[in-house]
Amino acid sequence: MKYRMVAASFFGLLAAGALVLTGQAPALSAEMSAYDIVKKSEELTDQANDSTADMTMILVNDKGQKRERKLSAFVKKYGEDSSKSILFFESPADVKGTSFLVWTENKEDKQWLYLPALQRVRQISASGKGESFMGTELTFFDMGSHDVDDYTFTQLGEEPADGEDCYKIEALPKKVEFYSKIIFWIRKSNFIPAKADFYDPKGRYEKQGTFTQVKNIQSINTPMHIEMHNVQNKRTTIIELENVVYDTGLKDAMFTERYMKRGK
Amino acid sequence: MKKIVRFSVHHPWRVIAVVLCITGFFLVQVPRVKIDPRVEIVLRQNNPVEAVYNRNRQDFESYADILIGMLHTDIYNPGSLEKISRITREIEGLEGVKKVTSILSVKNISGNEGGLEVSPLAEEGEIPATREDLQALREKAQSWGVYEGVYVTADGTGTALSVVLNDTVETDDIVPIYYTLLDIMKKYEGPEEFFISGPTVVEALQGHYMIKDLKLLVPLVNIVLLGFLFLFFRNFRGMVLPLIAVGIGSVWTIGLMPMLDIPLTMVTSVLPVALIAVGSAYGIHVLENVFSDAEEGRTGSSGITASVTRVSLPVIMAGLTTIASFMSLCTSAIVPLKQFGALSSFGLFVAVVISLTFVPAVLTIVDSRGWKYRSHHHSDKDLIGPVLGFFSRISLTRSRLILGISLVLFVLSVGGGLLVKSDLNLIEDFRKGSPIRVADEILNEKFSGTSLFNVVLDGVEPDDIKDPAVLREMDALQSRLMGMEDIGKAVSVVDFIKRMNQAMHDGDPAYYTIPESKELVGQYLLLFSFSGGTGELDSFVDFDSKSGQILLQMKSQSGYLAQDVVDEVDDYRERRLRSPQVAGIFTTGLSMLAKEFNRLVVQSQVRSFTVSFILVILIVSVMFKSFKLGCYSVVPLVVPIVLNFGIMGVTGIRLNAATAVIASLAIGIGIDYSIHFLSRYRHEIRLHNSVEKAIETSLNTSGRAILYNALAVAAGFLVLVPSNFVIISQLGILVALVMITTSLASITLLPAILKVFPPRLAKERPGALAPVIPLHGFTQGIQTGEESVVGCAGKALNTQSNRRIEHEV
Repeated sequence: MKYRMVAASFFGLLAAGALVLTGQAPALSAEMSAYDIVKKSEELTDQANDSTADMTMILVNDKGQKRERKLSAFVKKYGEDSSKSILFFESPADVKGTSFLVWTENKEDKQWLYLPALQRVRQISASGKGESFMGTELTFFDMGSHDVDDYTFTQLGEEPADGEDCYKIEALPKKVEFYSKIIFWIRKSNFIPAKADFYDPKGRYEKQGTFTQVKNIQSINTPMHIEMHNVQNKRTTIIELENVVYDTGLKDAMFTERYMKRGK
Repeated sequence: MKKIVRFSVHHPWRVIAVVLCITGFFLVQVPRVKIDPRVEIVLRQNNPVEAVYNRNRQDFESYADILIGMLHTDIYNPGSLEKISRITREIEGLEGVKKVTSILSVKNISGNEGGLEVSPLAEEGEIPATREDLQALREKAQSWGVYEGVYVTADGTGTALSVVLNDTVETDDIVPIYYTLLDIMKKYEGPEEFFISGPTVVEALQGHYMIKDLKLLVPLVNIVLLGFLFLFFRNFRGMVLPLIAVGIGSVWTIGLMPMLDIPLTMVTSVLPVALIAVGSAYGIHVLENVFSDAEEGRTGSSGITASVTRVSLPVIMAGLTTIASFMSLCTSAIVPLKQFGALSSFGLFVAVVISLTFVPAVLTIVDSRGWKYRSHHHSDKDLIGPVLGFFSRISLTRSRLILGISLVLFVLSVGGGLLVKSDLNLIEDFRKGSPIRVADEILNEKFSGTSLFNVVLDGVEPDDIKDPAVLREMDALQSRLMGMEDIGKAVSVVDFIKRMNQAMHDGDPAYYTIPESKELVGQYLLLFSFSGGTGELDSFVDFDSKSGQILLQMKSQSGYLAQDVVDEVDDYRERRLRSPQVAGIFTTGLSMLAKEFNRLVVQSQVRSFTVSFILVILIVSVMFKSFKLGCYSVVPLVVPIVLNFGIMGVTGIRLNAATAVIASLAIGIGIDYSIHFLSRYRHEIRLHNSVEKAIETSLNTSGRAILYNALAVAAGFLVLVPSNFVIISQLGILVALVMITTSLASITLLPAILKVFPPRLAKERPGALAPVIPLHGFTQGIQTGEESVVGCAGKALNTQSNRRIEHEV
């Protein structure tokens, strides 16, 4: 079982979905509905076998200053727990041509980075899960996949978010590591998450993710605008997706060192 | 004035009710007083140095707020490392803590043929236990100079944790964090020793100790005052009322602070003690007159009205001169001094008003109840008499000698005064041997330094800091700064970039250099961010990579060291700087604030001196209708004040926010001595027409009061000696000293001048202001009748000679 967070969008097949679960039968009948919702959400978002997207990543600091990066991302699924993704940086100018390759095999990551100025590929070690990913408000933990068994889900009723009726679902980790609690708002209409609140290990409200501008692409509902706002340090990361295409049949050769150097 | 006094006497309950209501109102505000020991508030909001400091704190992430040092014979052992790991986890769990970095968790960048690793020195949750692992950790820690002296000492006998707090943590929250940290350390102590310091802790503890000080010193000064009042009046109302009057003044003053958003600082925390020591004089003076009239049978509302009305003018004049002098501090550019000037003036004003309204109102009620009190005429041994006799003799027979000695003393003191250094050094404010100072000294000795200083290179455009040309400038400046004395460490983004360059070239030390292309630098930084290292760089590079800073760890927070750094940076900028992409280099940090403070404190001393001298000369000139006497009156102040600076220069006591108030205090209180003496002298000269006789009589009457009073104020300020802060202690001693020298000057130097250069005095017109000024503070009333004085000093009951003056006036 696994679920992934949206931000993972960028690695993930799911250019969407705050939380996508591939669940089996729920453990407790009381939690039935919460599980059902999450399961349905996963089914609807995790349909594609591969995906391609252009992304703009905007980092906004507490003073409102912005820093922008553009990149294109390619992801291909290899079964339940494995995938390969590659990112090419388009801007800013100094990092243009830099590429980043990740192979996920049974949840173990291998990462390579190609620096065009040095014309070298280097394997780089995986970071601590709690670390910020590329200076964003998303951590490596947010990007990864997690065992649903580690959480207890409860439906907290219904509440509108992003102008739509949503199911409000609480996820409590059985062992507090990076979050003490996550609350999701999942759209009733299409099961695409609209919002998620994250609470830090000390129980304080830490950040809020919003997933908006849902667009139907090849009959897969995809939020094109994702924001993560950290209420503690007042920073925000905005991810805007463009040119999202599913199932173009990406070649395996795309996810190799040779391809990293060549560029997309 | 009479109307006000009469109203108070005829409607005592109303006056008491109003005063109590207002006092109640201010009392409710008192708990809202905020403590703010931060250095940055010392300077005005629009001060450029302060602005740069704040900008820097916004642009770059904090590097270390609290430093915890652990010392052991060799910290590379499983037990000690286990402790570091457990302490780190415990601290990270504390409210308000953002990040803890230790020798285990600090990021290391390493590379080999296969790849590149950016990871903690020890794997998360894994503590090296085997000999090989320990050796590997030691080697890794020693492989990059950036850690040395910061997280671990070169010899491995000490390691340090740096704690960064959340931006939302207020100074108030830090003291509890500090004590929690102490508790945590206590658990792990032995054989390892722990020491906690760091700029934030030092600041916060100042506030904490201020409160401790107030809890000790305020009761103490009250006890001293009560003691004096007892010796003086020997009755309950005499003891209690002056205390209540000045107490009300203090409550209003402290209550006003939160309303005006004025925090408790090192300087304003002295307010209660200063107000009580200085402001009790007014109530004492009023009571003394009421009691003496009562003894002569003038009691009841009419008696009280008459007595209080009679003393109101001298009381007001005394208050006015003192307030004028304290007000002169408001011209200072140093915020706490300004606040001290305004608040102490307000407090003294209230004490005057209360003494003339509330005190007679209470007396009326007590009087109407027919409560009796014991008279207190005592004429024990007169210790002051022989002293006065001696001074009176020499000031008359050796006038020129006194003038000569004063001149020599003055010149010598000017010389000594030129040696005075001003400095704002938080850690040195604490007593030697106090835990925080000991900790700080040890950490400074073992590690790179607990004081942080920032040298910022500003680029022209965003991303300029990635330009190798800019980085090379930074590198060159950094190594020059590293070479300076008392600078333990200089770290910048250059160290990270060189290290990554080396790692990407298979760890070859030849590549520990700045790469040639801006693109590569950008890619290295991106690479670092992929490795989760963004947080580390936020302390070194600003958000859009336009500016970068060299972080200096220094052994001292002194403004003088800051000056050295600034000189070095200026020199670099003017003589070495080549890259046009460096728009500017500036320096900031707490020490820069200290340096700015040094500049301003001297300037503000000169300004407040000038202002208070002019004000005082004006007031006295108007009072005596003689400009000459106005000038004479400040002579016995100038010498002691200059002497004070001479003493400070010779003993090395610094001019700081606390000692900067001494001159104003000395003028404010000392001028009353001059007025007191001169008014008596003028009176006597008209009676005797002989300078010698007039001086002699004045000395025996006013001189006595002056000495008693000076002793009393000195005693009041000596209460500050047991303060937790060296600078407050010094303030107490120096004020006591200046009180003694001022009083001595006014009974030796002033008579001597009058003898050698006798002023021609205009005829006194009836009704003119010829105030007999009450003296400040509390004085003993053990003396005999004829020599007593009007002031609050001397035998409580006024003698005929005093009465005579007042009536003649």
